[in-house]
Amino acid sequence: MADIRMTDFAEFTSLLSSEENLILNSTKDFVNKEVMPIIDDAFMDARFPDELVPKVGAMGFLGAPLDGYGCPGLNYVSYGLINMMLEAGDSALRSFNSVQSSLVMFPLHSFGSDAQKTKFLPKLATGEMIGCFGLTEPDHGSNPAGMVTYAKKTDKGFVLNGAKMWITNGSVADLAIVWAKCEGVSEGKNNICAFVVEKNTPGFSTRLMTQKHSLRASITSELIFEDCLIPHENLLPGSTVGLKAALMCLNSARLGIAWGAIGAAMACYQTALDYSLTRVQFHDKPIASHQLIQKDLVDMLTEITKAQFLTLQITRLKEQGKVKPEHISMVKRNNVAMALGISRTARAILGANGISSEYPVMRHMCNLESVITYEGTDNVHILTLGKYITGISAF
Amino acid sequence: MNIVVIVSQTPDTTTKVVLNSDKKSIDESGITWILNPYAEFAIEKALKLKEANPQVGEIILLAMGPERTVEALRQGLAMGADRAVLIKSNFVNTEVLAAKVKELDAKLVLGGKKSIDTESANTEAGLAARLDLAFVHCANKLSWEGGKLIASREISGENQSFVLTLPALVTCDKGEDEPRYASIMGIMKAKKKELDEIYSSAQDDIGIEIVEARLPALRGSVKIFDGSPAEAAEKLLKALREEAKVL
Repeated sequence: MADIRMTDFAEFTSLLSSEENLILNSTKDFVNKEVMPIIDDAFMDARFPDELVPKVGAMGFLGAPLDGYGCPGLNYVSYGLINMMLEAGDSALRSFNSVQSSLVMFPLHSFGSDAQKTKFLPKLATGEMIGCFGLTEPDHGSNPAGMVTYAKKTDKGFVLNGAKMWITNGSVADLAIVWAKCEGVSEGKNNICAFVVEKNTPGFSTRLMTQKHSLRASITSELIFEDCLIPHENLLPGSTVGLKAALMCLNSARLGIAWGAIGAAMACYQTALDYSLTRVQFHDKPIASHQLIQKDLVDMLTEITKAQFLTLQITRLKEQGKVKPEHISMVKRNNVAMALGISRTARAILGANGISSEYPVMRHMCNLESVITYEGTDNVHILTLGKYITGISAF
Repeated sequence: MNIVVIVSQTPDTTTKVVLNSDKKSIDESGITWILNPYAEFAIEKALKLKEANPQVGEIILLAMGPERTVEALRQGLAMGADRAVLIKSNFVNTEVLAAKVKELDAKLVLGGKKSIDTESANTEAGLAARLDLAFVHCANKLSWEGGKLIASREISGENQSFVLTLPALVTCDKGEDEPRYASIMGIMKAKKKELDEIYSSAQDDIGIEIVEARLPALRGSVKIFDGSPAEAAEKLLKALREEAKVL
């Protein structure tokens, strides 16, 4: 498997600080040395490469944009660059990082008590503990407000009942951030708030979801709660504002996904470019000399370059406190659709070799089919933006 | 006892070289610059020597090059070096470097065995000569033994070991020392480490003029033979006999 490389046609990296460039290159080196040699087998064997977790922790990737509690406090562009290069390796690794950083550590950091932060964040930062995020349910994906998981407040604690589905890291997680309806506690209109549920809590079980064609190097699970009693202090106190707390987590994660998709697109473009320059067909010429192939390559490079600059600008807006959820909807939707399109074109350029595990393009293509669906489907982001520009909600 | 590591910056190995219209120089706009990998090996060895010997004081990175060389120095600082000095210049002058090494009170000077761009290995040898230091080239392993430095290298399939009484200068190969990554925490710490940037007073004119630069001739097109290794080998033999007619 060839090393991943940075695609930088319009000197995107000249807009980065020297620390940001150093983080970009260091992450690229890490992925080339630690991820590329094992990732294809992990995908084919449907195995989460958990040996990478302590290494990712030692690099300081987990909870990178958070301050204190063992986290480095990077800016969001740096967090994005890390995700970009991780996903140039594989979406599974980026998904692991997104969940741990944005969906587990971020809510603990933003909505947790001091005791919760002290207990969990340092170990999550090193990878000593793994977390997962339970929002989606079997019957409630795009509409999380309809969730049926319920937390009943009793004298002994909260009793949780319900199930969560499509949960990344679920079966290997030491703790789950679980969103549930809880009347009398949540101040949000949907009565939703979040709880920490530690593994081995009686009444909490997980079921590994297998038979996937996508994100095969990632753990996907169902979380099941049957009269699961958790202590009062496991409520995240800041999460009682309701569903908007969950959406804050998702906005952070979606920005990372937007960056990650650029990485997957770069990996597919570079593979297609290299292949087309060496693959000879007709008159002893490489297929890169064919007009149709050149158009495909130019389209790929143009889309990647546009996505880089748009995503950088929107992430700078986040750093300045000016970003809107709709900005993030635009880059998540644009970049993932762009990457999925590029992966399919790259697969076609490689011909029959495109389906071989010798090349990464079909692995990325299969992964991106999940990425375009999770954390807000392509359609949901269209409707979010449509509502913003017209003032009319279509859902 | 300080260790000085001589650092240089080279284009990434995947760089596609493009010449400027003057046909004498390289267009640097599309180049990704990296820390010379052999200098990276030297930094790793310096860090290990420090970890193994409390008498080692600071690891100081020293480079002579253009402004952009700061990035290579920052990477070395993020790996764990203590501070860095950049002598800003468009060329390397061992007289200037030698004066700086003396000032930094180094007992041991390390460098890469070569730079990966021009394959040159002149700087460290020149520096050893100017400073009259014991000099070992291409060491793949460095260790302490009773206050003395043992430098080992492979040569023609054999191992040679040198016992060095400091001060000395050693250039480094990789050996078994995998360079550590610049971790995020390392990068954040490096922001606060001292990085002196000074200007060289040496003359720019070193008596060498580049008259012309040319890219190497393009290689012919590449043909990849599909199939199992045995099938591909058979097809290759057939092509060598029937198409290339070299067998």
